[in-house]
Amino acid sequence: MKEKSQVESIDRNMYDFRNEDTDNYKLNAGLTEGIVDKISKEKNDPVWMNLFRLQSLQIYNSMSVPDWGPPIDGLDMDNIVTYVRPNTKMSAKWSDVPDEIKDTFERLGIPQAERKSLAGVGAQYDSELVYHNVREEVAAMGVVYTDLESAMHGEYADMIRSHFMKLVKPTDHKFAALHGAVWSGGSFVYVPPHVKVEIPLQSYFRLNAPGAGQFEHTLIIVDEGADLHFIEGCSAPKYNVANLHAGCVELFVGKNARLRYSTIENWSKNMYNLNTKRATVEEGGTMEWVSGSFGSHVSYLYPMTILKGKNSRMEFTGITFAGKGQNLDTGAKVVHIGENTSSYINTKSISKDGGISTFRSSVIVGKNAHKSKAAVSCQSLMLDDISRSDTIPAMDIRTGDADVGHEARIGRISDDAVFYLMSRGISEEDARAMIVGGFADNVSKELPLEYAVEMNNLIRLEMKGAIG
Amino acid sequence: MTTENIILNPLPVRTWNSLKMNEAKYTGDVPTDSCTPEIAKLPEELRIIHNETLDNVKSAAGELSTLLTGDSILIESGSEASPAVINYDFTGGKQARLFLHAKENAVLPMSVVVTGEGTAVLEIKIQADSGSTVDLSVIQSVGTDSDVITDIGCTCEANASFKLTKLELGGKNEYVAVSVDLCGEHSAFSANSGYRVKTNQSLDMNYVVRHAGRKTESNIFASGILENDSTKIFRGTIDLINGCAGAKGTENEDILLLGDDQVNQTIPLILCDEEDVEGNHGASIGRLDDNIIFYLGSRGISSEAAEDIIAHAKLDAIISHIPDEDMKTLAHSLISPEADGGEDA
Repeated sequence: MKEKSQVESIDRNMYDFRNEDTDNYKLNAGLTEGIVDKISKEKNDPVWMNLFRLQSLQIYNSMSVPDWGPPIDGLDMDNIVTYVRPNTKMSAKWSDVPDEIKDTFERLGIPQAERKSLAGVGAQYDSELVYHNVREEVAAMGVVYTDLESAMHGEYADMIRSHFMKLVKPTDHKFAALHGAVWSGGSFVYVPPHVKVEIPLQSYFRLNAPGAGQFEHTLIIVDEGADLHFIEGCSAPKYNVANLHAGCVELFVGKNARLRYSTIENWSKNMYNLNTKRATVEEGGTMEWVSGSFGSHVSYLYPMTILKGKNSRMEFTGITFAGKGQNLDTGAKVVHIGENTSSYINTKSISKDGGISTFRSSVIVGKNAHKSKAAVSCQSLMLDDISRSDTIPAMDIRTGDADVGHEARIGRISDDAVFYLMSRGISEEDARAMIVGGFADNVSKELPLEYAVEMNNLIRLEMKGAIG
Repeated sequence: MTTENIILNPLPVRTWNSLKMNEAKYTGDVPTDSCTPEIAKLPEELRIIHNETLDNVKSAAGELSTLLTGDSILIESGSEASPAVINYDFTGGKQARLFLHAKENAVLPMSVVVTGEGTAVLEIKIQADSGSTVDLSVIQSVGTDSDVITDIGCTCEANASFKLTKLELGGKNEYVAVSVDLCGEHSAFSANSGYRVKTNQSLDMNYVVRHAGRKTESNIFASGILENDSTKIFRGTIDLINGCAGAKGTENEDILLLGDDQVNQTIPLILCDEEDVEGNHGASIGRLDDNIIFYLGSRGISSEAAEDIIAHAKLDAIISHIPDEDMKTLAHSLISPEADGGEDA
């Protein structure tokens, strides 16, 4: 068993181990009305959800793939299994989780993290949650943290119905429509007014089955004056066939509320990560995104924030590390609607070993967003001349009294800095890793300690063998 | 004159279609009649050749090129020439094609003045041979109901440099495409673009610089003023191609917003396929700083007059890059309050 917080013990095996893909129930590969209906029956969907899925499938079939991002030719939906149910039911007791799955999450350090530093944990294995628990004292404050399917049938049914895919509509893009048709698993969080959850909640997503898709839906409502930090982690073993992640995250931040959403994404490098995340923020509310993208073969990931209420604000801090065989297209979007809103997007990207990293953003300031402020800063580091790094930031400003700034910079590691460190007895490999670690420092310092350590370890892993 | 529905100013790399920034869609007249140039100033070092073209210079204008079939002139410089001036009057709707060729170590300073009422299509293509310098300024002040499409392209060999000063002062809908290939080692491009987009006017720009040669440098600076109900998009691409080690590309945009309801879009791309390079972009968009308004107010200057002073100062800074003194004077007169029909502050 390994702990995430021990630097020495981290190696790629921590993420790449796999379990035999036998003891589970899976639907046939492909995407048909029959398959969508079967998922709906498996989930015991209410009628409205069954119709929603079928309508989403129609929208999916009518839309074309994006003509602007990394190629996704290697993704053939006819070969993707959209639903894989592990051979267990969801439990709130760790001891009830089957040994093989328990072992998976223990190797990833999830139960240890729960004991040490989390207010609640959800663990999803393939298409279903296998464990969900929230601390008693947090539940006593009225905080709801459960799986979405249970919430859809319980006392929060109306709340789910009025929020589910209202921010990210199936018509937004082809993979949002796909998500609407085949979503499964994910979490529902509700934080009542003025409740401040002092320690984070976490969901961890593990995709074990080869050739499968994971389509979890995360719905978080942070009511007026409330405060929450939610952490999302994901990983998968590497296979020779394409896997797909098309999750969806919808976040509702109430008046004067605050939500921090942190992600360390470390999908395996055969993964197509076509994920959609969106938040809407009411008056005086704050949305903070912290995002680390390390895994996946191809990523399309641009968390979006709609600053609806006046004086609302958002901050996005992100890092992307694209290595061999990876084409990671990441960034952020913000729409300023309310007056006096402010946003700050600060990203770093690193390209190495032929990896392609693209920073893509959009800042839209509407005509009524008077006195709004937006700033975008993106810095890219090229570690060799076989890699690629592009920045594509767009700004659309429609009011005369907005204040918008943007800066972008692409460069390499300074030879002088490497020489200086080497003159102090540090090897070139370690010197470069230190410099890259420093480059990523603004993201790691925004994470809880255990996760910052994990992120720094991922950087060390990626930098291993960078010389020669 | 034919009515066309064409794609202009495409981004080299696309982004979200919902932003409507990937390209411009032009529906309107594309004149077929040729505009006769008035050669206002031609130093003896320059030679004019009629109906010659430079076919290998690229364009960033999109689907315009197939419609450019009119008469052309090619101006050649084989040595260090004094500034030349060409006037084009596009009244009635016309197209003009101008080709410039600076031979090895030659200097070619050229000013082009664009006037008239009606749709104006101007193509300028440039070949800068090794060690040469082309210093081009284009002053556009067509009538307020005119559409203007300008397509500028340049190829630079080793140690060549292309300097462009562009002043956009008139027109209803204006499209500007600038494509530069820095092929040779140490070749350089600098652009200074100034504009004042008035009520109900639109300006659509697409600057694309490809760094192929080692230690090449580019610097794009766009500075302008957007008034009430005006529309502007600036697309700027610095493409650092594999092999251009030591290259540096910078683009900066500085926009002053006067009034409300502008549509102000900016999309500055840096595409990087080489490790040992630097690419930088900066943009500053906003109203006049309160401290400046307060300072000028304390000297008895109203906020409207203060805005006008700062707006003119921005354009003055661009005009200072024009190589020909007469053209500088002309440009100053075109941005003066009298030219606007207003009173001096």
